[in-house]
Amino acid sequence: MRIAPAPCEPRPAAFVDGVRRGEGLLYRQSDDGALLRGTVGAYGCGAVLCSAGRVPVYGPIQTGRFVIFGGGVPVALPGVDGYQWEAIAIASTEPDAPLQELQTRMRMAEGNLAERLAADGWLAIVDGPLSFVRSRDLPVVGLVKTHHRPLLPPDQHRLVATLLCGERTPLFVLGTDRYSCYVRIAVPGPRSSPWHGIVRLELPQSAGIEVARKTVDEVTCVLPRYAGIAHRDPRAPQNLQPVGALEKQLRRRLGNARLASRAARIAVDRHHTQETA
Amino acid sequence: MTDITDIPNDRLGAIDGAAAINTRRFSVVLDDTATVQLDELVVSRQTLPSGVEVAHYGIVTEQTGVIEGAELPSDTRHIALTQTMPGQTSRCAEISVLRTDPELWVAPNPGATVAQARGADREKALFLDQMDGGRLAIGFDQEQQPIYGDFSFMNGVQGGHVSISGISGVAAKTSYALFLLYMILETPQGRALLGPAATQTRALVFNVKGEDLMHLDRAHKNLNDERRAQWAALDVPDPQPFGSVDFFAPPQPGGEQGEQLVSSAQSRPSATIYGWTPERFIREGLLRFCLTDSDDRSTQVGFVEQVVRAELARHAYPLDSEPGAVVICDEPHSTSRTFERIVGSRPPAKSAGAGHVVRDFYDLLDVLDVRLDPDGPHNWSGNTQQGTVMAFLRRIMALAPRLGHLIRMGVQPVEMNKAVTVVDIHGLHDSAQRFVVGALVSGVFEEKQATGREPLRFVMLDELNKYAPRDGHGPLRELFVDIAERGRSLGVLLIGCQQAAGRVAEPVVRQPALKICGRLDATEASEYKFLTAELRERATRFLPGTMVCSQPRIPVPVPLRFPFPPYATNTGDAAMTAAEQAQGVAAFEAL
Repeated sequence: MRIAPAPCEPRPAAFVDGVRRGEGLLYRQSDDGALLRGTVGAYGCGAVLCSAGRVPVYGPIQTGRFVIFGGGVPVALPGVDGYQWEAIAIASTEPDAPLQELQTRMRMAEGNLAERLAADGWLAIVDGPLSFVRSRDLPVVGLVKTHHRPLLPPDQHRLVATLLCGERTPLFVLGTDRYSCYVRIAVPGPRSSPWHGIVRLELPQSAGIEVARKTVDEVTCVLPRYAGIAHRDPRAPQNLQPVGALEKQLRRRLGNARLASRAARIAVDRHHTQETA
Repeated sequence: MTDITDIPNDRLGAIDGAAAINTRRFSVVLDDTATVQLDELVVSRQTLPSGVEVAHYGIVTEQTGVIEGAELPSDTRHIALTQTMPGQTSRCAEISVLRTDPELWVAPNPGATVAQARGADREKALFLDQMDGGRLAIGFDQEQQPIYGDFSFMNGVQGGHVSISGISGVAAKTSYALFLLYMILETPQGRALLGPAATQTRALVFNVKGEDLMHLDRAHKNLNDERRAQWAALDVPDPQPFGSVDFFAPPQPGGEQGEQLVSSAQSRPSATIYGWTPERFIREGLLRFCLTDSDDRSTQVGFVEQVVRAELARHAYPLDSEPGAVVICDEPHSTSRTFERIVGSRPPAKSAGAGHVVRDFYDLLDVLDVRLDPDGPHNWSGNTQQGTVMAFLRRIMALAPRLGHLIRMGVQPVEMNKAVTVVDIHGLHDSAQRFVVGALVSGVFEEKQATGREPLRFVMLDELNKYAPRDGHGPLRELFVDIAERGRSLGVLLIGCQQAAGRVAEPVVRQPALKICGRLDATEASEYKFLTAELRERATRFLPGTMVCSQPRIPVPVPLRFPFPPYATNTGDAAMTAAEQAQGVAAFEAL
């Protein structure tokens, strides 16, 4: 079944996204001789605010730079050339756990920002599933670009590919706390894959099915306008224009990666000198 | 004038650190609220690690803008038109450094704030604190704040001469030259700078186009309050026409001896009719300014001219009872053949019967015809080839209809008795124009060789390329090169205009301390090395009234404008006086 929402006045929409970057791998030996891994890295998170009739603008942008160590002991690095690292410890000793922690922190920051914007009346659309939106009462919408596993029974799953641009599937329940639906946001070309331009939306259940329905209709109405442009972004059209631009802006705001790595190396060196002295 | 010293400096933005900056130029990322125009003056301060505070003063030379994030032209459409993509507009102003104070060769700090230079900062930026020899307003900027020139570079103390370039019609060269003369001669500031010699200072102005400059003593009818305000900005509250001007016009060609002379200046019948009596022509050796075509000098003709000039002087005696006329006698009054020695003393007058009487140019031609006859009894031409002598005669004969009417009885010499002397040459043939300019300018220059720098003599001449062309040689070109090189210490200051500096003898456009350009011809602009690349390009788009001035004090040329003239710059612009109006009405009634 395909639902084509009636054209609506686009509501002011806020697209929230984040980027993160590992800027160096660290290790240290614990007192018992075990090798503990850490990472230095940064994330940035922000929003693009789109109001009808106005040039989209960058909303608040937040960045953080961390040194994250496994094994439960934080390691503080001295600041270098304006670079500062917040020291964080995690219990896990898995090699990729520190980078995973950086990703988690970025997603949390995205969730916080989306909630704040939603509370201010924006139609907040956050990149990725709603896992890190803690409030279940705000109509924050998660936008999922990739579809790894079918969420619907096979006969319904097959129908997703028949959606036309600007149409959505009916809402279905996802887990215990979310509604979801598929939306096509771009007209597929003659040789496009059947799922070209399909994104999945997620909304919290707590506001009720009516609010959820109204919200996804608004989002379905808004999204095709912002669909990504193929020659500009390899992830188009699912990666929306504001989101693509925001990611670039955020990466710029993280600064030059090689300079950050250099600063981290100097900081580690100084830290080592201080410890041995 | 309002005192703006107390207005706090306005921040414009910060020095862009995204591109390398140097000691000569930098770029300012403008604040969203900042508005700045080309040619505005800015200042940026920094404290060096040594604790010394340094200020960089600069001038805005260009502005750029970019939407950051837009990588393809179509991105701009998505950002600005369909409004589906965010972008951040950045505006930058490019600055050329005018001055570092104190004079330290350091680059400004990237990221340092930049403010508009106002009040004392503006004065520093324009080196006003260093203009010890006095300063004279030579125009104003976009905000009608005056821009000053260092007077010691205008009066010959440290430098002199003004060169004004630009294409005809829109560059306003003559207007600007007159404006400068006005500021020097007519304003209290200018007269104060001239000092005790102010009343003796003279300007010789050649009128080369229409009868435009023959009305400088009359008010301009279109001077309104708004235009008066421009003068007020230069501290000239009540601009008036030139107060002390003499006008000279050539006689009309033709007419027999003894007939009433008719002035050729139709819109200025009262102008004095100028010319040279045969005696003055001969004794001042003006024959040398008759043959000024470049091909006249590349042959032996120039040599014949020298010989003839000296022989004429040796054989010419004043005519008894008819001042100005001469008698050419067989007997020379001097044994010397050096011209300067021959004219060192005046021979006694003789009566008409003593020889061949010369009352005008045609009489002179008759004399030369006889005296240069190789078979005649008084051959002046020596051993020169007959062909060369004939070539000389042919050239002199050809000049008769062109400048013959200037050498006759009854004409007045051009004497600089008033502050400004306007000499009309616009209707004359090229050869005659060169003759008049050569005769008068050499007269001024020679007079000043003996009297020292002050009182100053300004010579304002348009179309310099006619008189001092880049290629070739001749007495006129040499005269101007000499003035360019030595004139400033002798107090002879040239205010020269030309359409293209590249066509004028190199010292004549290189020596001037003040170099001014109006609208330039695009094919020519590359000649003006003293302009920055941006200004060269911009100067091809200047509107009339916008000029750019390069002066020794300020390392970067500064664009400027100048006020509307209070004096008429052609016949139609002159406001009628009450008497003239009454006269017009009376003439109409009489019809």
